[in-house]
Amino acid sequence: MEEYKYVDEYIIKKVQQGNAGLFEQVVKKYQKRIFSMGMMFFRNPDDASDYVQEVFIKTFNNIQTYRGQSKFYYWLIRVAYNHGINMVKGMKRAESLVDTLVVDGDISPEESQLKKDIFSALQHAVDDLPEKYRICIDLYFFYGCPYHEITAMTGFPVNTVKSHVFRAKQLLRDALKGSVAEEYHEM
Amino acid sequence: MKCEQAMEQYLRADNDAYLPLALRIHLRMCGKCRKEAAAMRWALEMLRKEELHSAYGDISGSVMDAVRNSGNSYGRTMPLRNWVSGEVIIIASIFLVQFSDDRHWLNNFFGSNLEVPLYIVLGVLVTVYSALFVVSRLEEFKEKVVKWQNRQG
Repeated sequence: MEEYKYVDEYIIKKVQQGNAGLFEQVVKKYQKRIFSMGMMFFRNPDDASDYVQEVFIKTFNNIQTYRGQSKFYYWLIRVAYNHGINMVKGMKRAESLVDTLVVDGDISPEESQLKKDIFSALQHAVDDLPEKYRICIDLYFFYGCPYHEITAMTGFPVNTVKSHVFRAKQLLRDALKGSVAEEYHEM
Repeated sequence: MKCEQAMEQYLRADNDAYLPLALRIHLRMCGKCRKEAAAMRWALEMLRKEELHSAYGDISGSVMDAVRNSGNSYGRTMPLRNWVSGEVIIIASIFLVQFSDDRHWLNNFFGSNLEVPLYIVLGVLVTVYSALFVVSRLEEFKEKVVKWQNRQG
């Protein structure tokens, strides 16, 4: 993974002060994540690419409103999520990222099996959820958002978010029980 | 703390949340729970780093072009008050310099030949300063002119 020299909040402060060129670091760092969100909303790479561009332009145009009260990354995800939701209003439901997971061929058979089990556990968790709550799983597991950020973005009650994530984690725990992950990744 | 209770508490913890002391002690003491927690942490880390849609290329160049063309530069502009203060200081200096001892010394040394080049230099200074002021606020002046024209028309 590419290394980035400065922390996001420092870069954003500099961008707010007029160093627009540094914004490229933010774009490079998060474009794939935002593209994934675009795929979740539009399910085709061309629309997702346009979406990435629009999200970053919107972020740049509103950068002065970022006050540093939460991590910049969560703020960016919130901008991206709201933009996606506004664009797909009235369209088909957004696809969960879990539906798009594929196990990479460049890893050992054990790790490959482990990933398959993890993905299938998440798939199971997502399948059990009503469509509108599936985004909670994506935002928690793939975007690393904490409960209160998911609540702020989606408007779902925090306890609803917590219970859906907890259920998914239980399924994940069952999938991991007795797996090689327990042997290899001890504290 | 019992193992099931500990693991439930572990699973209920938020992303990057600080684990309660009792739970951390339990995880230190209990090998089984420690293994389970480590595996869970690994899985969550792996999912967060998962390369979703890895075929996607770098579009930062086109994004930055669009950002530059969006017209929001957030460039630092000097406040109007500072510009005016600078102008007042320059003009005040032009008037006050004739009362200074140095000016008298220069006049005695060079005679009246100094007057013209000195005022040319000061004039150029004021012109350059004013030009910089106008150029740095060109958009603002343009808007004001357009508004004034609309009011007239």
